[in-house]
Amino acid sequence: MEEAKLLRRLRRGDQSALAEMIDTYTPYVGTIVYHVIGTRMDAADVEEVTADVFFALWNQADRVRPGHLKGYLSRIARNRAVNKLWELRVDLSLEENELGEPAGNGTPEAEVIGREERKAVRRALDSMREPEREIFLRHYYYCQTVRTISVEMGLNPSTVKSKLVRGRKKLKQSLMEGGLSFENN
Amino acid sequence: MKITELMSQISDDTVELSQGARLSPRRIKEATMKKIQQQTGTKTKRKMRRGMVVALAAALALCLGSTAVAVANSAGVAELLGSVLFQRQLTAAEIKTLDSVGTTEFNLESNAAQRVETVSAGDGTSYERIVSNGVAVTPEAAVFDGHQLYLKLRIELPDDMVFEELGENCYYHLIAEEFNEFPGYTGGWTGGMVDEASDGWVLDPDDPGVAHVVWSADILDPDSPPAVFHFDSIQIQDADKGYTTVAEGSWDIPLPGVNPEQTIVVPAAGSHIQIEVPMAEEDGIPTTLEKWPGGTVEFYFTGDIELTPLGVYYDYNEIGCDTELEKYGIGVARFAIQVIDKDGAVMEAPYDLSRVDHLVVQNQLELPVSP
Repeated sequence: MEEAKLLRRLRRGDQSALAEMIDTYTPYVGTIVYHVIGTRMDAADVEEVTADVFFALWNQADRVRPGHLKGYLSRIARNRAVNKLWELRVDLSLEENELGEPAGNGTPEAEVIGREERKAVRRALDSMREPEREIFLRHYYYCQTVRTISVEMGLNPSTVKSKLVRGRKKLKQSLMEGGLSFENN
Repeated sequence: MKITELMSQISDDTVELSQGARLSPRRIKEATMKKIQQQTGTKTKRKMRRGMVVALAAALALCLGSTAVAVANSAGVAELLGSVLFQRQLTAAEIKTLDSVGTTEFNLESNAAQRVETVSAGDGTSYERIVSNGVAVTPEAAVFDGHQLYLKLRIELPDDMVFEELGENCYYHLIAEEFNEFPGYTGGWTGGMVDEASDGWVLDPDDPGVAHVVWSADILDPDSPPAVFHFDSIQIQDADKGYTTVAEGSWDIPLPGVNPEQTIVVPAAGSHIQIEVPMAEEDGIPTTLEKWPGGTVEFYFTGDIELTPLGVYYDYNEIGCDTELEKYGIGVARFAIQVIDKDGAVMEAPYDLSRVDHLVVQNQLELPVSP
C-alpha cells in the first residue's frame, strides 16, 4: 500500500515522492546498472544512467502498477544501461547473442510477432532449471560476461558456457513453438 | 535477432546481484531533478516577485472581519494547476472544464490571528493573501471534483527568513492538523471527512523566501466537505529527527470551489461522454489502460481474480476502480464500464481476461451551472 501511495503522489507531480523513491531504490537500481555496465564504463556513467531511470519513472509513473515498481525499475535500469553501451559501441562480449533473422519481421504482423516473442522468452525461462535460468538471465539480461558469472556463482566457465548453449536452444525452440521461423533454418 | 533485444521486453527481479558501486541518493536526486527542470524549463511560469507593492485594502490591517473584496486572479485555474494535474499540455476543452469547475477567487477573511492584504501585482491586477506571524500565504487556485482537492498556494516567509535547501530524506510540509489526524490511508472509503493530505513543494529559484505548494487532500465525504481549510504551521519532516517547526500561524482558506453544487456531479442530467479506452497487453492479458486523452488512467486487472469493475472513480487525472481484491482511490460508482471482448461483444463478470479487448467508460458529467 505504501508503494501505491507513493505512485499516486508521483502521478500528481509530487517531487518529494520521487525523492523518497530515489532514497529507497537507488541501491537496487544502481546495482543493476552497475552490473550491466560493469567495468566497461566509469562510475559517472553508472550515476547518469541511474538518474535516467528515475527520470523515466517520473515521466511514466502512470504506467507503473502498484506492486510492480521493482519489476519496472529493473527493466528500465537494464535497458537504459544496455542502450548506453550500444550508443557508445561498447562490446558486450556475449556468447552467440545473434539468433538469426525471424521470417516476417517488419511486416504488418510485427506487433503480433513482438508479443509472441515476449511470451516465448517467458516460456523459455520457465522451462529452464536452476542454475541454468539464473546463468541465462545474468548473461543476456544483465549482460554479465561468462567470467563474471563464473566468479559470482562459483562455477567453472565451461559449465557456464554449456548452460548458455542449452538455454539458447530452449529459447529458439520456444520461439518456433510460438510460430516464429528463422530465415537461416 | 539478438537475444539481448528479446530480453529487453521482460523484467526480472529474481536474480540476487552482489552490491555494486555505492551510489549517493543525494547525487542521483540532484541529477534527476536537473533533468526534470530542464524538461519543464520551457514552460511559462507565472512569477510573483517578492517585495511587490502592498496596497492595503481599506483599513484591512487594522480591521478584523471579512474584507469582502472580490479580487480577480489574472491567470485561470487551468493555467495555475493544469500542468501540475496533467503533466502535459492541456487541450482547449480541458482548459475550459478546469476553469469552469475550479476557482481562483477566495473570500479571505481577517480575524484575530490573521490579516488579509490586497497586493498589487504591478500589471494592473491584484490578489489577496493572508498574513500571520509575518508569513504570507496566497491561495492561487483550487480544484475539487467531489473527491480530491488540489489547492495551489504561494508561501512567503518574513524578510529575515529563507527556505533552506533540505538534505536527504527531508521535506517541507504545510500542516493542516485536523486533516492529518486520521489513520493511515486505506485506499478505500473510510467514512471520515478527509483521508490524507499531502503537499508538493517547489522552492522559488528567484527568491529563497518563497515556496510554491500544491496541497492536496482526499475528501471522503463529498456531500459535506470542509468549508474552510485551516493551516497552522510549516514544518520540516526529517526521516531521522522527526518534525521541526519552521513557522507557526493561522491561515484560514475558505473554498467556495468545494461546494458540491459547484463541482462535477454524477449522475447528470446534462452531457454524456463515452470514451473507449484501449488496453495494454502483457503476455496476451490486458493489464493497464493506455493513456486516456482526458488524463492519466489508472485501472488494473489482476490476473487471478474475478473482476467486478463497478466502483470506478475519476478525479480529473485518474480513473481508478475497486475490485474484490484491492481498492484504488475512492470507490464511488460514478462510472459505468463495459468490458468489450475481442469480437466486440459486451462481456459479463467474471471475465476471461485473455478475451478482453478494451473498456468503454461511460461518464456522465455535469458541469456547474455557475462556477
